[in-house]
Amino acid sequence: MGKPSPLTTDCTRVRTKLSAFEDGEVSPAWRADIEAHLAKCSDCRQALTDLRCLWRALEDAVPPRLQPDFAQTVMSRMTEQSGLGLLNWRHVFPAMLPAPATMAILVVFGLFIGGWMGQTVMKDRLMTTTSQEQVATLAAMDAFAPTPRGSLAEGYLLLVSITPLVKP
Amino acid sequence: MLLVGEGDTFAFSCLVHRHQDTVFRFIYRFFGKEEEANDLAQEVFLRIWRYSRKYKPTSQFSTWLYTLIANVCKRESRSLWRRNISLIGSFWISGSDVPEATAHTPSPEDAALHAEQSRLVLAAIESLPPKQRLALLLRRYEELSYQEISAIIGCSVSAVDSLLVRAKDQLQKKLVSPQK
Repeated sequence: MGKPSPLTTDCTRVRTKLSAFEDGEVSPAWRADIEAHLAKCSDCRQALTDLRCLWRALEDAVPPRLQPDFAQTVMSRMTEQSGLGLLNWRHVFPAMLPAPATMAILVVFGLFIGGWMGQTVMKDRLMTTTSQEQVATLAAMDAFAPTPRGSLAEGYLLLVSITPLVKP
Repeated sequence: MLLVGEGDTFAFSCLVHRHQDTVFRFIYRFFGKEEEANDLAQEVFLRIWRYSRKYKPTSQFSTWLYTLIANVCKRESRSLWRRNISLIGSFWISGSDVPEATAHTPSPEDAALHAEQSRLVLAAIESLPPKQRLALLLRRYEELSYQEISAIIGCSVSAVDSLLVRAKDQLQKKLVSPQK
């Protein structure tokens, strides 16, 4: 075969559509145009022949083998996944979640119960714990203050607070 | 398929038997490895089971199936490990890489020649970028139209045309030209 001649504008235009032409994916107008060009251009005819050769070369010579127990493996994996699916929190948790309205009612109910308990049960407990023991504890804590009760510092501060400021 | 969506395991089993070869062969051609094709084909069927409730009979089942297969292939080829391996493999296609097909060939000379041809074809296909490979396999072996391929890959018809032109051009350089 001789050296292929340089591509003309017409050849370049046809070559871009040659693949689609071979696949039967060009419009009737393009098809007629390409066929007319191929009738007079041996280089483009050769390009089309090469394309057809390639298509034939892609034929499978040795068919691959599927695992004999392929379907059984898929079925067993599917069963495993279905079993896990029941325990999967992404599926189960949303189903367990109550509707937003129910959640709001539960929150209000919780607040109400909490308030009631504070008023009745906890109030009694607070009353009983305010005993002499607790007063002594509070007084002991007061000893750590910068001016403990009954100290000289407290007396000085008291004196300063009641003495009016004398302006010169 | 609608029965599968309702959780019918028998219908799913029938579906697996009917389409297992198609799914397996497609993935085998995409990656060129039997073991990997078996694993990924299983993954495709498990996805079918998982997403069967979302299947709408408005589109063809084959299109839906090929979209699932394409997604599995794309995801797998995107992983760093696979990308590196295919990158290394693309440097020597006509050389010394040995796909598994040769391991199962019988001794006669014809079978050996066919195995060699198959090895070259698989290696050449594997050297293509994933999108070009998908387009080529869908066109050459599944005989889908450009319109169907565009729906599966998620691009325009003209993009499919362009992918196929580039894929054929590369394959021609690797398969046909050296034999001349």
